[in-house]
Amino acid sequence: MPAPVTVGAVLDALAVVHPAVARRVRDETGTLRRHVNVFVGPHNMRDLDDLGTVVPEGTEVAVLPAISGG
Amino acid sequence: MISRMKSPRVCSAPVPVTTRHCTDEARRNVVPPAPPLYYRFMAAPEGLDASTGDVVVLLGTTKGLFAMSAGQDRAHWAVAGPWFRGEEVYAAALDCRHGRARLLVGATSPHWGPSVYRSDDLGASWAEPEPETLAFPEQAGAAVARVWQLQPAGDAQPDVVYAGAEPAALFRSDDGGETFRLDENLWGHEHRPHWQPGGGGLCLHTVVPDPGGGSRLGVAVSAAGFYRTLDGTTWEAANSGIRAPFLPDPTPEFGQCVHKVDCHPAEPDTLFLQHHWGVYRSDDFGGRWDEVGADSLSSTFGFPIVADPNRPKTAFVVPLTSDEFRCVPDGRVQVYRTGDGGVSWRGLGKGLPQSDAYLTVLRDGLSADSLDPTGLYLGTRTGEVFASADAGESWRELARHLPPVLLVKTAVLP
Repeated sequence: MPAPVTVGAVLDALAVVHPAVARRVRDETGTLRRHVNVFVGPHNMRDLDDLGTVVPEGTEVAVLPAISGG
Repeated sequence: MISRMKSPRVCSAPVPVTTRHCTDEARRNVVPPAPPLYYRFMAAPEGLDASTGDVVVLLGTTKGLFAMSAGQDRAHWAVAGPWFRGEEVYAAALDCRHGRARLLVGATSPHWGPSVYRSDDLGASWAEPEPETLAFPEQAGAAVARVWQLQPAGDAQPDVVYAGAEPAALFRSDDGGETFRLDENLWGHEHRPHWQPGGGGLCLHTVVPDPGGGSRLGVAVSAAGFYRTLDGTTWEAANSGIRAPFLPDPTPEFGQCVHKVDCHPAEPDTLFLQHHWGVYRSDDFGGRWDEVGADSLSSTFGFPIVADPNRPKTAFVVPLTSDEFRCVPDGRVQVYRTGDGGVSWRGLGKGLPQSDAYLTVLRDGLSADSLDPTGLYLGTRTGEVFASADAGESWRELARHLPPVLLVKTAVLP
């Protein structure tokens, strides 16, 4: 993917390869599901630039269910 | 033909009648509840133990799908589940048209959102079609919050399945529930910007297909009311006669909080409706509604209404005390039955808790099977399941300690 790679671009790529996973992370409007967190390294993307958060090369992106979802 | 899986059906153990708060007089008059049937839980993914002719009762709960099955004597039950552990199951259907036995489930994960699943082997395996099962198109600018109803159409349209979703959307499948498309005409209705949600959200919770396979279709939305299309394309509000005491204009064109609608396939023009206050009947598929039963029901507030599959003039409701308390009146669980099209109703409670019971039955918490005498199945928000094999004359408890029951759906396997 052309730099800078954002969280949104990562999830777009995920949707191509694993659509069933991708739609569990974002809904049809492209909004991150309420009880899902996406971390760029140790940082929650919601604390940065949401889907526009830049993912530095080599950084792990983790999708985790939020504790708020029970 | 569906093979019966080798497993023991049931064993039962007696349970003493509760004596707390009972006087000697009351104890003599209490009909001891039937001992709860101990059921062997068949852990998914083995699937449901059932074969041709068996009655299957689907139980959607806040924590997954359970299913019960029994022979036509409806005496001994096996229970399987839960599938979709931890997910709300508001919608499910067992599509038995044209000899198939397809399970359809609408489940919502609190984390990962909603989806629709299908199984053609009674739950031993499940499929979720790609790329999408049920979702808004991009141009709609909306996302499905929950699937509220999965409704197979009549036998004349064996591959049509309707889905009701939140926010107030109707989807249709023409391939047995594998793919769905949005009904754009209802989605674009001019009333939509003015629809207000009910307590459970802005949900399209009921779909009433034309049993004869025509283009006529009705839907119920909380809290927009009953809408119908006569030509399959143009939708109109059809709430004339339904009073909405919670609005400044008590008889508005729309905005009613319709809780449930049902009809008998032999009399497709006649609809029964349970409103947020008031039970109604229409004899012209929603063109005009008349309130019925106000003098003989213990309360006109309630959620489910079910037409007897065997008798067009017979229907069942479960009155609840008010929209604030929402529990059965006076601590007594009673299912009310009409045999004259709603003119008069009689309370039936033999075998149901008749004291100190604070139960709630949700809009899809009552279902009827097509055997004769009609079997009825009642699921509560406190996790009990009761059943009657004689059209409500007598009941017994089939299960307890389940998660809150959201949905009860019944079918006889072909």
